[in-house]
Amino acid sequence: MNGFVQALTWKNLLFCILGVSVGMFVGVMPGLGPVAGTAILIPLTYGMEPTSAIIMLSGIYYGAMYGGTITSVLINIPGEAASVITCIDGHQLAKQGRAGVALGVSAIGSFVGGIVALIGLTFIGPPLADFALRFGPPEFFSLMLLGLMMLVGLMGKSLIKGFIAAIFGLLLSFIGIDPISGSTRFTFGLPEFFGGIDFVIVAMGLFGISEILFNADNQHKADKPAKVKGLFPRKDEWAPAMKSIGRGTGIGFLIGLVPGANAVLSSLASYSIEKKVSKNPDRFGNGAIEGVAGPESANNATSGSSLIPLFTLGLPSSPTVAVILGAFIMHGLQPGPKMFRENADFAWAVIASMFIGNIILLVMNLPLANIWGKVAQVPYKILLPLIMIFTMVGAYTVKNSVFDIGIMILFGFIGYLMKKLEIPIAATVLTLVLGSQLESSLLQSLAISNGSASIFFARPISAVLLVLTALILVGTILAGVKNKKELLGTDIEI
Amino acid sequence: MNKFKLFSKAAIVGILTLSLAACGGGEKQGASSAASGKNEAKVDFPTKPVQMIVPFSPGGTTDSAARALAAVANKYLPNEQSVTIINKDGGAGTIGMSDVVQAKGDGYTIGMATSGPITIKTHSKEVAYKPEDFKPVIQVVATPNVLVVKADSKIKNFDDWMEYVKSNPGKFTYGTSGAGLTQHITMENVQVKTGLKTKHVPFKGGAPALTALLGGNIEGALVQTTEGLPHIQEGTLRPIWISGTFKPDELKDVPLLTEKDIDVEPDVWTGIVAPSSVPDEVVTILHDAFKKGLEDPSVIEAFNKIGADPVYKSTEDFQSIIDNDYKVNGEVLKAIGIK
Repeated sequence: MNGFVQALTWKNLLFCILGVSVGMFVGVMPGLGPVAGTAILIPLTYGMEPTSAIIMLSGIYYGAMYGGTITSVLINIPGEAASVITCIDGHQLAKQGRAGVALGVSAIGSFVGGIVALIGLTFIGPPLADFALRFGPPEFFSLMLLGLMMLVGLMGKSLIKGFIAAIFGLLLSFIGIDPISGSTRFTFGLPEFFGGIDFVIVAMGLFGISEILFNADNQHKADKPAKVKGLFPRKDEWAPAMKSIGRGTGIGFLIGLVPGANAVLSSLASYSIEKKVSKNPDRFGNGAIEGVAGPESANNATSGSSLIPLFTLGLPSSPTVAVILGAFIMHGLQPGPKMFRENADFAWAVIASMFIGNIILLVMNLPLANIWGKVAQVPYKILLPLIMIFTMVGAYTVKNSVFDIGIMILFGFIGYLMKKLEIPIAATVLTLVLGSQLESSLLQSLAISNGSASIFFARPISAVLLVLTALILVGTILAGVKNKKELLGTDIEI
Repeated sequence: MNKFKLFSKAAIVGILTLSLAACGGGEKQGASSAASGKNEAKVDFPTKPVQMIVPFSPGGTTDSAARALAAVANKYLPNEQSVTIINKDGGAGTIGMSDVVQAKGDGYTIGMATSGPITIKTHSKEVAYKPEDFKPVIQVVATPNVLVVKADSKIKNFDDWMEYVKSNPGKFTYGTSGAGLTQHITMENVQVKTGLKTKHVPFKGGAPALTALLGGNIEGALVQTTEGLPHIQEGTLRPIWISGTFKPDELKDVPLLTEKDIDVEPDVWTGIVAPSSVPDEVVTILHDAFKKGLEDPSVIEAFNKIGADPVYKSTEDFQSIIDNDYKVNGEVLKAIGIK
């Protein structure tokens, strides 16, 4: 409670509002993700009091999760990796003039996910974190494999085309430094490729630029999107949406605890579960509200619960959290059990500020959703060139590199072709994000076991995950024999 | 219809070229219009701000150290000129370093270098520069590496470790922050020198390696002392040995490898470098200014917070450290077959 008193001082409240607003902004701007946002602002916090600095920086972190949704829904460009899934149904809703609904529901879902994760952090953090530590490389590999199985749910009209997309993404993820030997591979001798291809660049090209090209093609067709029709879902949509939020929150929370797991995995898992439990899965891909509500709650729950290992053990579980850890250290604070003993006031003030920040974000986002919804009505002739400029600036800011702008445009053309050929873009982007983690966890496991694959079956958590994967695989094939349509997934237009 | 289509495509191309031109233009600014007064007897340097390229993203140790130094630079540089930081992330630090090499040799573009991109990555054919393309200015930070095991491990000290690894060749798994980085090369070097055999498990960064160690998935981790120290102080990890030229105060009773007659001692160092074409007088001016900066109380405090030890080395000493590390790393890389 003392934490709330401290977090509610005018100064800290101001920094909290500032943090979440900046977070929203970096979430909205293509190319500027939470990692870049926090990293760029850290030097500015040099002279600030530690409590205010951390309150502001963590505000950016979870604020970006809200903001990333907005561009996904409005212009089909994911603001950060976790929002790729939101594009699928969110943008369809926007095309039907229901952008406000999509944004409203995701704001509510994000709020629920964020708050539940915080309650978890407050009350059951430490024991959970200890358990999560048992997730070593073999468990992580099996979890990733399960995650990739879920991609089948997004594969669109043709399973073959889906596989083409997924394997293309995997191949892209191999570019860069070989994780075991440290030598470079598939770089064409270009040092720009040493660190691999940045996911943000690829996503902006494949989603954003291709969307611009695609719409330029269709100039003569309907230019104006449909009218915005309100902010809240229809009466009959409330109950399923709330249930999706509940499920998404649960999944996201658990996945966030796993060291190294990212929010992509949780929104992917949530989406495929929503589709599985839905009575008519055909609606998914055509603007199903559950397809927005579930994943959005899940990725916010993940971003909240992934702070648990940081606060309780001093271990960052994702790149953004690692940047925040850097900020802690820069201000002379070492997260971990020691922090709760020696700087308890500070720790609780930061946690309290996150509760407050989430409430601010909800209050801010509900009215804003309406305004953002109107942005979707700007005629394409004006909107598309603007998006073009924003994505180019965004691509440059990721690493201050002109080379990246070229890469993004190249992927824009590839994305255009993929759209024309109806190859699902999301499958490529998601395997690119997950691919390098899949590879390094496989190689790490094999290094630990001296090359024997039995390690995946000998460890209980990993074995259970693998059995689950096998069950889904067999189930999908059996269902496919009975009913061809289900194997091929449903019509998803991305 | 067709005209319309054409127009919109042309517009896109137009915007494209415009923004490309804008981006390209911004970069070269500042490097031009410098060379005046270069050949005079007394060098008047600097007459405008110096830019320092940090080859990593903002917020990391290298960046924080660079910013702390830059913040006080105007107190010590002639003409009260300032130093601005430019973050040029990517390619494991090689992108930013090749920008330094390509910069005009007037001293207005310098770089915050670390061991990896200068003495390890330069052994790769794909990196377009060599260590001799740089003129070292000053070494500012050095961090040794420490081998840690879990607190409940049977391995209590250096001798236990030696005995365990000797009797179980290839079984001891250790994590590092990545393949081909200083820690990996260090352990490989230990193996070359002692004939021991261990198993390397690379992670992406020191923290994931420590996570895997705390979860009992690997038996040890070789990390920078600054990364390991919080967990050692918390009592969850135990230090076994340190490889480096010195021991941090908190780890005084942990043996250095050199004390155990294993000749492996590279630190992970950070220092300022300039392109090799920069005249010596300019290097001296920069060196003197940053040396004073390194002794500034606010810099010492900032370094202290991020856990970095200010370790000063003069231009000449820094040069011999680079030469030696480059040679040793080359031998180890060759011995283990990495290019």
